[in-house]
Amino acid sequence: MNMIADTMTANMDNKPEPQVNLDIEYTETVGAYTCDDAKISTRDVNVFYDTNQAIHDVSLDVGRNEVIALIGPSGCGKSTFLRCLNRMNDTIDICRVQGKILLDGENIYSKKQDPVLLRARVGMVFQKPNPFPKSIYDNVAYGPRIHGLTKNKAELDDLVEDALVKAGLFDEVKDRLHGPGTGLSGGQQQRLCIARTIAVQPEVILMDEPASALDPIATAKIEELINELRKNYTIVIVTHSMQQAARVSQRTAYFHMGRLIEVGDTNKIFTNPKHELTEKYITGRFG
Amino acid sequence: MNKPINNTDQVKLSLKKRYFKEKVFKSAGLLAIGIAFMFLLVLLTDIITKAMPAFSQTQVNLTVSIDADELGLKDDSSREDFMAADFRQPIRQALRDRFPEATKRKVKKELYTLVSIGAEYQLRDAVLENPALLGQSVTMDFIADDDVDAVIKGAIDRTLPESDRRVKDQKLGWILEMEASGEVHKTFNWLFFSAGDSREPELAGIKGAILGSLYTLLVTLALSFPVAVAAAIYLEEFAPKNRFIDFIEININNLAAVPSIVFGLLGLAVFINFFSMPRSAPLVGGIVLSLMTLPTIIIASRSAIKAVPPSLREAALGLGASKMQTVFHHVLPAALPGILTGTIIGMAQALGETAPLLMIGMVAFIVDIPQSIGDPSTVLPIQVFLWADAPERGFLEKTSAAILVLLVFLIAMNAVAIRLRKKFEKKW
Amino acid sequence: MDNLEFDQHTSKEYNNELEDVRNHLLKMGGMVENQLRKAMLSLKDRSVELANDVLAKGDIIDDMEIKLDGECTRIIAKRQPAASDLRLIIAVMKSITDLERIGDQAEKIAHILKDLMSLDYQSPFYVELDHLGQKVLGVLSASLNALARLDADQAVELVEKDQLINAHFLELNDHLIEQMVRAPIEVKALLHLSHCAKSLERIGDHAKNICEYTIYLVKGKDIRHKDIQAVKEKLF
Repeated sequence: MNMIADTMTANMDNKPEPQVNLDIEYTETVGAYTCDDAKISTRDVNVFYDTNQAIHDVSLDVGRNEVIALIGPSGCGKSTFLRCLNRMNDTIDICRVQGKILLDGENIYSKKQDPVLLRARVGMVFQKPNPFPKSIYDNVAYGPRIHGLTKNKAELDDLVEDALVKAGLFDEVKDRLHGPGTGLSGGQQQRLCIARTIAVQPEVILMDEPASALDPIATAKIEELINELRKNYTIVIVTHSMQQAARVSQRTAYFHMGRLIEVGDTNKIFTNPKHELTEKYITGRFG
Repeated sequence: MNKPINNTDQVKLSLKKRYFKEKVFKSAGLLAIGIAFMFLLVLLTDIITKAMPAFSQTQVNLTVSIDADELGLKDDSSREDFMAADFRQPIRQALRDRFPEATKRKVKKELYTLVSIGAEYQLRDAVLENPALLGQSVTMDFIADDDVDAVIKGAIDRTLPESDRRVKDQKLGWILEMEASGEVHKTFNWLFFSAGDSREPELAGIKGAILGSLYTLLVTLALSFPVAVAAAIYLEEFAPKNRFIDFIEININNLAAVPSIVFGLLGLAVFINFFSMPRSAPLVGGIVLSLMTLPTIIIASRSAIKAVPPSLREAALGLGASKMQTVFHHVLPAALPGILTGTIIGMAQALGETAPLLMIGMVAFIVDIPQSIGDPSTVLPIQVFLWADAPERGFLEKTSAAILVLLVFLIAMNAVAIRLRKKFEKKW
Repeated sequence: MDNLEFDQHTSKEYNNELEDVRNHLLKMGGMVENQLRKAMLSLKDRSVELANDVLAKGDIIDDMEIKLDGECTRIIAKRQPAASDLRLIIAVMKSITDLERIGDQAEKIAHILKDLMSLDYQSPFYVELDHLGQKVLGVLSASLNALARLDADQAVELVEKDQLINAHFLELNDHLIEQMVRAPIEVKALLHLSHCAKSLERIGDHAKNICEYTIYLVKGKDIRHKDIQAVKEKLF
């Protein structure tokens, strides 16, 4: 017994200093970044803010009807990468994107691709619930209206109701559809934003930390909603909560300093990650 | 050895000092507000007390017999005949009848100055309106001369020795006599709001200047608001980031600091001399003032647009709205309260502006009330300037009254803007 | 992932909690090992006093199991451990069950000794039993060592060694049966000895389990009920 105890203490004491600044310059992505049935596939994506490189050679496939979670410490480039997928980065003047991003095999950064059309196909839900300062109905109807998706008022009504039902909000707001969208609670607002996105009938939904501003119950509702939506949509979600990533996603991709370190089955990543950085991140060993 | 430091005691010690400082600062602030308020109060009291007499007018009650033959008028006389007729005589006759003791030419002449020279037009208008008065004897109020007005309002001290007094004993005697018999009395001065400028203080009104200001501001608003908002939207939302745009931005900021008289010179040189636009017209004034207010509104609009949360833009763009749709459906409505604030600041500036308008001839003496933006006119601040410059004592109260009107105009404009802003600020 | 570090968390409290769990596990391991050693010694020296000592200390081990279980539950509830932390907690929770059972087996041996003493039975089988016991003790000790050092290589070797223990047990059992046939009068005592051997064999199995948890903890792979050679080729 004593011997064991001694070894134990010795073992604890003689551990090498933690290597936080790992040399990841030449790290290859660990795990299978490809998918058999890819909805989105990116190859060697590099993103620059002016001369600053935010994303380094990221190649990642997103499977059809799967939820993929992008995790990683702040400033690791996961949000930047997400915003490449519907060209939201176009709005930032100094942002430059290189590499191929294919949606159903078509390069979304080609000259032919119209960003407005792309965003109708790839919807986005943001970190902070950001309903328009309009009524609940108008919030949801806005997308269909600008794209001319419906022929008449009745069709639009149906579409709005359908979107609200899918977002699990209809029962809560059916009596005040023409009340202000900003009068809802945070969680309801976020579901309104999801309903607004669904109303455009996109193929892919990007979610940028959709529950980070919400309380646990509202978060649980959003997560449940994500699970429901998976049947019809491909979802890419960026989250700071590892538990959330573990709960909602089928695959998880870990980003670190602009590089995709590891990607794989969520169950694997959370029980037995391959890369040391992933391990450190998901067990809470980064400051 | 040092005393052991107890945190609570230490904090307590400093607390007293900190609270004291806070108190001092608070009272300093209160004092500053008090001083500002006091100045405002003094200013307003001064203006209001000086302006109050301008809102009442002295009327002289006379019985005039209108002899059609003497005037050379018949029942079927044309309008031109009426205009040409000499209505001065009946009034003079009435005055002579009232004070028959005045027989000397000089005294009679003095007597005639009891009523304003506008009295004959009053009589003419009355007859024009009701031709049945011809050949009858009418008792009506006539506008008193400004000296009579001054005596009645107490602006001329009756106890002064005659040599120091503007109104001589004889005239004062008549006035006092009429005042005692109730033939001279004060009424509300409607004329002030319905007449244009005049050389005679008792006949001068502010309507011309009010309309001039209104037309000028309308032109300014119509020109500067759309242009400024369009420029602000383009610069904030669409303009590429390059040296040319930077150059434009710097120039806009510089333009806001250019002395206003320079804009007047520009207006004179370009709009009047080169484009031969009418002189003294609200059109040119409005154009010149809009040049001046443009930078103000652009700068305010840009910061209002900048203050719109990016999340709103992202939400719209994320749904596939085009840039244009994003701006006009979401950004602009959200920025509108700020833009309106900037506009009202610019318009208030324009309302009070004098210097550039001097250069384009709006300082001219204009009696007629402008009917359109092309008519010569003046504006409120210039009217103030003109009256303040006039030697007649009667204009003193008019000046203050005009200032008061200017202030009321400003407050009304602000009220409208605040109403509008409240309406758009409704958050959904 | 061969160098697991449980003291690198941002939360120092979490570090301490994990370290406490590990320390308590090793302490419990040490106590169980001591119990077995004492039980074997009592068997070798026919010492009722030592046997009583073993029986008296059984409760302490049970208490430790309950305490450690509670600690692990609390960590799961509070920290939601993931990856290596999660595997550590799982390994600890499983290991303590096995350790507790080993403790039970040691008590069983102590009981058997007391029964044997009441029969006043003398036999050379005691020595043979002691040989098996020393072997099992060695494996247990090495298993706990491997767990303490997170040494998967040693653990996999120990898993293989379990087969030797099983063989030894079967051989000893055969000898006991032969003796029963030869001297039916000794059957009662011999059955006791056989139970004793069975207990030792069970302890060997528990030690093997602990090695498997160690491999799971270090390598992240569950190797239970798998062919050990294939596992070795794949993981090492």
